[in-house]
Amino acid sequence: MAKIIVVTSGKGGVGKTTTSAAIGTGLALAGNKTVIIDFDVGLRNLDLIMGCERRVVYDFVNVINNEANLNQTLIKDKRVENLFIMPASQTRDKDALTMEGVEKVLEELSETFDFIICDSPAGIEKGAHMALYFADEAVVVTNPEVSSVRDSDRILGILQSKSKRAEQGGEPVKEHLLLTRYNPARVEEGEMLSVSDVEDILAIPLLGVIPESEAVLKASNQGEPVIHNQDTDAGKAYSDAVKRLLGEEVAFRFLDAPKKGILKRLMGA
Amino acid sequence: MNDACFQLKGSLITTFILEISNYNLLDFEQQLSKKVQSAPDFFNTSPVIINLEKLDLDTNQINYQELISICRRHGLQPVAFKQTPQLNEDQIKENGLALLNQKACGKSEPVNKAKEKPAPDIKKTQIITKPVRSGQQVYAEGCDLIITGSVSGGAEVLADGNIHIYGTLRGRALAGVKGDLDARIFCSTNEAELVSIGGHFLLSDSLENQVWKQAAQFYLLDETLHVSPL
Repeated sequence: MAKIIVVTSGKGGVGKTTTSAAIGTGLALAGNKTVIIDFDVGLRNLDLIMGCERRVVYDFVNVINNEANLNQTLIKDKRVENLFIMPASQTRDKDALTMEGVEKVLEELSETFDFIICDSPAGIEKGAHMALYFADEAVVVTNPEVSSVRDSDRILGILQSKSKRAEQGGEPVKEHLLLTRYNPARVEEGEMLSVSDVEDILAIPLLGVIPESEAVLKASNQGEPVIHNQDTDAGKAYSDAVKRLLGEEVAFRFLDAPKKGILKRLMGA
Repeated sequence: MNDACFQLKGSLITTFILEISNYNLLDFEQQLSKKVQSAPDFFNTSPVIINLEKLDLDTNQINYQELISICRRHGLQPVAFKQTPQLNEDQIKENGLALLNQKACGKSEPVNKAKEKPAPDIKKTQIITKPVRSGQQVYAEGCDLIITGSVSGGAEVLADGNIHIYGTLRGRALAGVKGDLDARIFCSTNEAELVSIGGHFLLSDSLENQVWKQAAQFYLLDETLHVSPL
């Protein structure tokens, strides 16, 4: 039985797809059979981030409409064993998804996979609702700024009231906070919310803090999830987050601004 | 077809029950006379049911006719006897009175009445143990509201009574929404967007320089909303 994890945020552009790609890859690297589903029908991005855009033949909507089966649709990752991508349709919109269709696909995937990562679209409408409805766990991606925090708060409220687990009165969806684009220097300057500010407002356990990094943009453009680049802080931070997701206890890194070298301090820079 | 001569209708009539606990006709008449004189209009021609339950009918020879006459002399109208085991039913019928069984008389013991008193009408306070998230709304209708966590920005909590927030209030809190001006709002940390009691409100603009980020209570005084530290 697979564990279904939704990567969501409410707000757009905070790093949901980057996170889905990184966490999905990290879980597969740890030996788990993992599939990442792109729920952003009409704004297909996951295939670009994963670098498999030229291999998309069928998509999620085709499977739901019984126009293709799972084996035809799933794209096998070239770098990592056990990792698959289910692309969204670029020509359709969110209305092409149905609750029954999504449930059927997730059930079928559950039989053979260990983890199903649902990459949610932004917003709180149908697409986002479908992505989170069947989730066992949720990774709430948040940037350290007030509007992103408020939108995350909103999506947490929806997880607690409109998910399948909430509606059926089961154990609540397990929530994780993932702070991305974190810049400790700017936090010290008081320009950015700190980890504890965000934790205080959202009141859910912290899964990881991904430092702001040029490597993330570069990785996206190259279609290679940043977690593959273990020379970068962002790559390391994602690896830590995956370990925590798998139950390991890992100390948090990259929370403080790098100390200025003695030469820079003497120069007064 | 002939027109019906009569119709039977059910009705409930208030009567007295005359409970005799000591059979002594002289004393009885004296005491009854006194009672009736205290409110002659009230007792005038009132129907009365006589209850001899408390008398030992084996040792007391009851003069039914005399008992009934005494009542009539003082303006009461005996209509029936309450049925008890050793009652002389023939004599009662001879005097033209009815016999009422236990059920018809209902229960009259004051002790039982106290037991049947309904539970006091207190509506339970609504308690929310999860954080109230942005976009969520909680309304405690007809009662107080307790929130053990925080109220996020963009969330709204309302109550007809008081509101207690044991976390941080960042959203809106409206107490006494049906007009209770004595309602109050309490919070462990005040970072409220809006606070209102009985329709009198304050926005964060004017709250930011009073008890901000501290434990606070809000209350109305002379139709003005006041904030004070807790």
